[in-house]
Amino acid sequence: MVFIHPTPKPALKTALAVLRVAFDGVAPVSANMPKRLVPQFVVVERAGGSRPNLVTDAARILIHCFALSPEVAESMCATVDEAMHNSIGTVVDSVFVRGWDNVTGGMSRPHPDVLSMERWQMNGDFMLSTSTPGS
Amino acid sequence: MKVKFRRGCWYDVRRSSEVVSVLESAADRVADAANGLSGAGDGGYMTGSRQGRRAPQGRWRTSVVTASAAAMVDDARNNTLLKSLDAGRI
Repeated sequence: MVFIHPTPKPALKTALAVLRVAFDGVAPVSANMPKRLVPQFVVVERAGGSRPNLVTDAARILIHCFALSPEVAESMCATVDEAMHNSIGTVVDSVFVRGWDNVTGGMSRPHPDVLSMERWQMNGDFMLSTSTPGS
Repeated sequence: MKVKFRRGCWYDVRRSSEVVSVLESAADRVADAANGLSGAGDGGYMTGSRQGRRAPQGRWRTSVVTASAAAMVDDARNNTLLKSLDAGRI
């Protein structure tokens, strides 16, 4: 029997897709810091992760919400949490989302290079199926 | 048959050299990974190791901390500790 190890799906790209829909028209969402600061923006990165089983990739996704006030930054974190939770059980760009778990934050954590803005962070395990839906 | 636990022994198990060595080794791996990732390059991520209070459980705990100003800035900028946690998996 030939055993094929499934290739993990792109977790960062999937998280970006989920959050771009959630912040559509409100704040840009990117994997990089914007060249010019705007009043609100979201930066998403992958901070590691694990493979708890063959069919699941648990990507540690770190989300930075930048805003001019802590109240707005906190509400952006709430939007993130809502969007990530609501993505569970859906297919995003051909990737099946199994879960959003082990979540920490939102919490205030000022960025040393962007002290003119509030930065709130949250992170969690974005659990994605390694198999392609429908295959 | 009746099993009676001597609760004080749990405290000793949790401080046994085998347990401490596993935990310290995990913390060392995280600190090494953080120092490797760090732009500060000053070995500013260091470990701590101590047993918790006997009440309620006296669990041994290890930690990795930013021990220099440069490491604190580096972690705030790059989230180095979070990104190094995977190295501590047992």
